[in-house]
Amino acid sequence: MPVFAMPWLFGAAVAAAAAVTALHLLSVRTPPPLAFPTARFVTDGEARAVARQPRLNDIGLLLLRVLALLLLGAAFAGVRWEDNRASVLHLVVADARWATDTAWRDSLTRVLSRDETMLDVHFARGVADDPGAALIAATQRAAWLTAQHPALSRVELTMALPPKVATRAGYDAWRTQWPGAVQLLERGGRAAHDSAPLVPGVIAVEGGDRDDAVASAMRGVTAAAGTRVRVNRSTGEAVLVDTGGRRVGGAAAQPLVAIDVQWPRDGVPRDWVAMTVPDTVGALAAHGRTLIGPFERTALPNATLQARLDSGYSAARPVRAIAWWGDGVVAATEEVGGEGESTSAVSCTRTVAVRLPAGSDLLLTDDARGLLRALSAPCGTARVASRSLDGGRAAGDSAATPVAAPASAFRGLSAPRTGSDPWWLTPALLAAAMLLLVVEWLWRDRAGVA
Amino acid sequence: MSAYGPLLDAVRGVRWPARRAVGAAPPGAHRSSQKGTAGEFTEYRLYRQGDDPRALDWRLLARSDRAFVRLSDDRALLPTWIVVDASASMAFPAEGPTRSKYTQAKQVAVGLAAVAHASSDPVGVVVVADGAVQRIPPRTRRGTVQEIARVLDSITARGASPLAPAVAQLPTHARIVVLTDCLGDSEALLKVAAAHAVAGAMFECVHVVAGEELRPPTGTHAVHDPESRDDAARVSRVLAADGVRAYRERFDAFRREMATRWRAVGAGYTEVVTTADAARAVRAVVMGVAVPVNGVAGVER
Repeated sequence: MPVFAMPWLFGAAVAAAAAVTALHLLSVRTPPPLAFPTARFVTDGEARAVARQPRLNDIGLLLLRVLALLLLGAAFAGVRWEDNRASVLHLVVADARWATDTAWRDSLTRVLSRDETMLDVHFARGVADDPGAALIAATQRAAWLTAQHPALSRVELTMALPPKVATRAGYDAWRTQWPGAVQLLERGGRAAHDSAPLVPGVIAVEGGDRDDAVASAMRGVTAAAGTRVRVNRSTGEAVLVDTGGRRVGGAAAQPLVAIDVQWPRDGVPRDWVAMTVPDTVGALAAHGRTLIGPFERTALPNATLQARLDSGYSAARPVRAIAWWGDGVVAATEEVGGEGESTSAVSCTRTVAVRLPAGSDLLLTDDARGLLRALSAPCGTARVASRSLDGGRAAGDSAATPVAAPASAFRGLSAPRTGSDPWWLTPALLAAAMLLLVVEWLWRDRAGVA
Repeated sequence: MSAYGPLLDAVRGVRWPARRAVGAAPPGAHRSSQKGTAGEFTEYRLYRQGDDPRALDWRLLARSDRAFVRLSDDRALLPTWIVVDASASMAFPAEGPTRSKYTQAKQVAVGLAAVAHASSDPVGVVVVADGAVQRIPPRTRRGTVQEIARVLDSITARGASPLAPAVAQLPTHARIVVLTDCLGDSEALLKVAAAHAVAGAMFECVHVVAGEELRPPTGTHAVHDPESRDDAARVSRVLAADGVRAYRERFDAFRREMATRWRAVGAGYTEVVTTADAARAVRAVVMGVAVPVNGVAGVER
């Protein structure tokens, strides 16, 4: 089926053809002559020199002109014969280090291949470090592919990510640039085609108080698979509030990674300096979300911790801030500790210096999800929620975000192909159009038609 | 003649009396202005010297001893000239269900010739076509009507044909019937007719009108006068639906003016529409009676 590199140009030709047709419909013609002996009695005043004919005239000339215009439009619009009529592009972006894993790539292709869908697996550097690189690569790849295949109307994006990424700052910055939903495929033995069992994440709140606001809020949080989050509110019996995860396998279950969260009720963790006079702060920011509330700041990082935080995150000083007060003061930190039960995972300790107002339900609001996610994310990372390929939207995508991005959003980003395919199609169309115009000129010259 | 057969049958027995007494002429069927000694008695007159003694009523002379002469109305022939306009305008309509004006004029001319010939009047024809004049002088011999028909059939209406010069050459002691559409030199023809009427000629104008002229064709047409010789100078006017009413008003006024002016010069005037039956048209001309045509007064007198 013919497609056009510049469809607007062909549209202009169609519009011109329509205008020519309208002119043939509305052309003013001299009425047929009639020898009338009593013509002298026809009054001049009421006589009209012309008369409108509401029907097509000179149909042969009209066909020649319309055909010539359409051929010219098709030639200049870069007509191509497109065999691939897929309207959906399923773009999978993975880290460049996995490009050599042909088995994984083949299995991915088998799983994702669908009718009427064009599947493209693209590898980019840095995806494993920051998913933002995948977004950038996906945007560039989608722009190029949509320029090459005008029939594409929608683009679905799946990013193959490792369970943990170094940072998601780039992803958060670039996420709004992708005009659709992003499906995340967790690679590392837990892909949709992978049959390896999952160990569900566990969240436990130790505090002995079932009415604790933190315990209530943590019931709505899903721990990452393979992690165990223990929130220590005070000494006492641990309360299991979440047994998240999707599949529990048999004997080959993966070990859990321990994440200890020190969140004392008074908001003064160890290594933090209690303020003699509590300060009033109106907002708490974490994981890209801001929680507004009547907070009282009761502690500040001590000098040593502040120095470690100021020196930046590094392997030698694995301490970083994960939550901030509204005035920029650190409210929660994460310190990566030794290896956990898994040889490949790292445990960590998170400290939260936030005293919740008595009887507050702030943690149950939607804005509190940022803080809760920061606390339940895998160690050393900002957690990126992963879903299976058929799992719908990724975390963070609003309900209004379309699942597939419109292809038109990418067509302006890449220079379209302007040539025809095959290459001789444009010269052939031009020659045919010229021939038709010559015939039209000869016809008009012979018939004496304007 | 086969085309005229039904027409000649239809007009058989029709007589065409002169509208007034004719002048001195050989004896014929028409009342003459001359008094003679025909068998039909009219009046007595005292004998005057020089009268033919054979006209004396001898019995009255014997009874009253007075010499009276028997007088009676004379009868005379009336030569009839039929002038046919064969200009291009008479060829209208060239196509269509109705006959052309020239065809209708031919039919009426042959019919009138037959009627006049049946009255023993000499009949001649003058056909003016494309500037040329073809004439057959009035004759009474047999075959005159057929000869007239052949001449008319051999001529195609075309060009511009002024009738006045041809009519002016005709004798005044005759009946002159002009079959025309009055779209040519009608002004000059009226002057000639007036002069001939004063001189004693009996003039008849048969105004031939096409049905399409009375009811113009529907649609929009660029109309032009077919008698315009120069195509470049030919003025085309568009006859559209919204202009038909004005056209008909002007054409009706023209026809009324023609009737009035022809009658004003002492001529007879009959309007014959091409849709009318030719025999009825002939009777209308001869008898001066308007005959309805297809329920419409298509022949006016």
